[in-house]
Amino acid sequence: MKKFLLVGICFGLVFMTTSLIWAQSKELKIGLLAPLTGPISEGGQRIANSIKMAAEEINAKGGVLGMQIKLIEWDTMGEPERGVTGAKKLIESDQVWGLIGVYRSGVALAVAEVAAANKKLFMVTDAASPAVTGLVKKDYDKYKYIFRTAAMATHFTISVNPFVTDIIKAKTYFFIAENTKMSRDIFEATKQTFDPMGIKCLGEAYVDVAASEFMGELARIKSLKPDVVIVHIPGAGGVAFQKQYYDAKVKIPHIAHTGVMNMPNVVREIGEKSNYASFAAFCWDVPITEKTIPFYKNFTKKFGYEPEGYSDVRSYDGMVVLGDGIKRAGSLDVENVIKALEKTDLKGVAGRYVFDETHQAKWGEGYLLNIIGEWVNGKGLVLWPKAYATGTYKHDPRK
Amino acid sequence: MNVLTIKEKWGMSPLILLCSLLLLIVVPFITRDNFLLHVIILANVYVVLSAAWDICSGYLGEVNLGHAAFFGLGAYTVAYFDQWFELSPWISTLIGGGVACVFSLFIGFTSLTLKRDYFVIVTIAFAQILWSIASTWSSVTGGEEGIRHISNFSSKVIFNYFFALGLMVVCIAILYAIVKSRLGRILLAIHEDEYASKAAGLNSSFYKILTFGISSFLAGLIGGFYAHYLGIVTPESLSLGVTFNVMAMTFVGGSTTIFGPIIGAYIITFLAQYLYFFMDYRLITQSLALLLIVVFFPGGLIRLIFKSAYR
Amino acid sequence: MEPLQIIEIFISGIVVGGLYSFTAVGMTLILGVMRVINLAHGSFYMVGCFATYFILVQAKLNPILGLFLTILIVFILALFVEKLIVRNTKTDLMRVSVATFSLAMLSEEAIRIKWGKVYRTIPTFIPGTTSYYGITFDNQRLVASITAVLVITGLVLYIKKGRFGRAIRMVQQDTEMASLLGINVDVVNIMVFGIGAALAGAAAGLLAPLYMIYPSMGWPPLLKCFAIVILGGMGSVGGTIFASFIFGVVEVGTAFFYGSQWAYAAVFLIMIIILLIRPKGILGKDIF
Repeated sequence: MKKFLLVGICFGLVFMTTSLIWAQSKELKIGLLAPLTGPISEGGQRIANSIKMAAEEINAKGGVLGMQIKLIEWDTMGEPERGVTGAKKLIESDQVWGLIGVYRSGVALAVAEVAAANKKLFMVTDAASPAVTGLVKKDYDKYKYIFRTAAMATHFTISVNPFVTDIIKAKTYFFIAENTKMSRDIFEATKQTFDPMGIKCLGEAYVDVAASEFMGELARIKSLKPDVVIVHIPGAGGVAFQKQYYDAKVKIPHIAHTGVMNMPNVVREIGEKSNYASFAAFCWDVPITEKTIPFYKNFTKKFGYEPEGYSDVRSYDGMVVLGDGIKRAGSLDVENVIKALEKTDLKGVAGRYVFDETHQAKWGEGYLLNIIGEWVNGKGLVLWPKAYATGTYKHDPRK
Repeated sequence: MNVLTIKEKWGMSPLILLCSLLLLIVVPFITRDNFLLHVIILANVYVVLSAAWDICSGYLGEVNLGHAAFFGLGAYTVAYFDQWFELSPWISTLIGGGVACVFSLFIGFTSLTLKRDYFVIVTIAFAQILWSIASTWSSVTGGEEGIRHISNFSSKVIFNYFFALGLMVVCIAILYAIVKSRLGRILLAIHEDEYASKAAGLNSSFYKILTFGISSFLAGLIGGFYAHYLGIVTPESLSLGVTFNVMAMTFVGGSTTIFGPIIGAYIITFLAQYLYFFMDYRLITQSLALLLIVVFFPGGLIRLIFKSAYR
Repeated sequence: MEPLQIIEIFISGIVVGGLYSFTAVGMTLILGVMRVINLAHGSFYMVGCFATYFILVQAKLNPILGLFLTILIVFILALFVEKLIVRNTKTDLMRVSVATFSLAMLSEEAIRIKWGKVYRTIPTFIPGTTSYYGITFDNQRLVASITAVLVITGLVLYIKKGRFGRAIRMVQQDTEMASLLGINVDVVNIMVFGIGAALAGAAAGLLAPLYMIYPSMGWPPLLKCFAIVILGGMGSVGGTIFASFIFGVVEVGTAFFYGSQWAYAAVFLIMIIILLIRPKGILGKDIF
């Protein structure tokens, strides 16, 4: 009898949690999906913090259409299954109006399916696969609920081009990257950009995501002698790679895609070995718009570390753009909001946000760009674009 | 004729079993909450995974720390067969189980004949190799994005719900039958003292490989269902995280019982999905709880609650 | 392909192998003497790295002092772990595997919650590089590698000659006989566990400045150690050292010729093959 009661109580509790009827509230519930724990939680926490910061600021100014934004978090841990579960829970149990966030394209794609099936808006703020907006292109009616303020893989590629073509004026390059699908997408785009320009690829190398020893690759780079090395190791390996690159006195100009090498707090801790490393960042504390520098100040003050320009800035802007879209639509009707979002023309932190026909935030002069910088003695010199430049490129002078 | 009562013979009061089953059958008709149904489906998947793990690691004593590998093998097999041949989901799921089983036989031949510790390490290694291949060979496996648009049994949640429930019941029934049969006693004997069993004439290697094969087949089978249900498969299904969950569920419930993993799977799945306000601390709580249970209450919950039926 | 390059690869491999040998020998000791598969070995390394970070970067202490402190911290932690967890569970393979595994997850999550919000790294404290005939090595790496070999050689000598070392060997060979002879097996076990973990801590102190520090950094070393230990023979210190060097050379060589993307998988494949052909490993004695 006792055991029967136990089982009954367990199930009863479960029912209670789910059968609660949500009263009509004057809150705009938005589901925030990000990897809050797990191996990629560093990025996830940034995303979550930025979105929360944006929501707080919007709420302080009166909210959206008189309603306060209420973010309901869900930890995806970077796993698509948890993304799907979370999306379902947020939509069905919590009755959120829309979804925002996500890190990792695999999760984004899985969540996109759930969002589209339930006709809920999904603002993607940190997932780079072309497949995400490819969905919008493939089947507009089904997937029009998906918008992306994050950069695409192709934008990553383009972000380093000025370094190769203008600053170093290279004729040959070597590409080394983490072994992920995103890296391969980026490499494809890189080749497509440079082949017609006559800039040759001397070699490519893919390293394990958890790799920490790069002696082999560095020896290969030294023997091939390219004009420039393009690095896409955004995670922990990027630091080890830079340290070993410096120690091995490779001395070939190299630029890292956005990742760990444009985080000022990490570079500070690397110390001397970060010298002469160039990087492309999607945002920096230069006055790209009037919002940029205040954002950098506030973010650093609030969280204790500087923004790195991608997951944080794009997530913050994503929330702002979403709020702006709803405001201009004048109602919570998803169809109206979609139409309003498609007409977005808003100055965010990273630049000017306008969506193209696949609901991707546009890239380019006058829209969103990146800056290229170089670390010299712990300071980030901005090399490009000229409007914000604070210095010129310095070659590694050591013998 | 039966000296034992039914309760002692079955190991769990059949009344509880029946009531729980009835409750599960009735749930989709009394609630509109699809999320709850989704969680129960997930719980059932983990029930099969955990019970299958228990029979190899608990009963037989060969600890398989690469269990996720077979789960993922089933899932990926289904994804590929779906892409290439457009088979009926029923068949591809069975094939998923079969493929997982074949791999396990290969691993089993090489490592189950050696000392127990080797098996543990080899299974971890195997899972890591598969995970590494799945994550990095993106042209074939889709890399970290995985494979999407896998056909499902049905788009109706209710169908999936009952299918999962039915599959769970069938798998548990199979495992239960094994455990209560002569094979089950043989497994315990080999666990207890392999040399004595060999001396008594048992071909211990055969039984070990057989058990491992069954365990992996079921894991692959439910992996196939999982792929169909979610519509996507990613390297995460091959990760240590899955194996860790399975371990936690088996231990919390009670290892070397078939019903322990059921209890453990339900408890942990529900806690993981519903304690969302607890988000940041979920993993740490789970690992702390598991640690405490393994050290201080290795019997698991089922032995605490149903003291009379288990040692 | 100039011969200089081949030499550079070879020597790089040896250096890298020396780095791995620290943690690998720690694992093999625990495996050999206590017959425990310590899945938390990577966690000791990770905790050691974080300890080194706080000691060197926040408290800004002298690196040598920092190294000793780190070793001490990890050693003491390991003693606790042995007493509370390993002692109870080591009789049952399943329990000890699950216990050490959950300990590893627990420590990773605990560190992540408290300190994992940002990436961290440590500036190298042995500055500069050394060049011989065109091959350059950074001094930190060289020193770490040489220290590893020296320390381990010292350890091996101690085990072979020293009194406590003899006790360890006796416990390894025949536990019952050892306790009959008056050796306190529990003390030997706890010390061995502590030393094994301390080796991981020492590795952390020397290696941390080379890489980045993050909570899940313990898993790759753990799995590589398994591969090395099996290759060299579980429980054989000499075999493990030898295997570490082979491992290092293979890793660097593969990276040079094929790219390291396959290194992870290849390593485990080799491991499985070794188990098929010669489970004892290169120099191992099948001690279990």
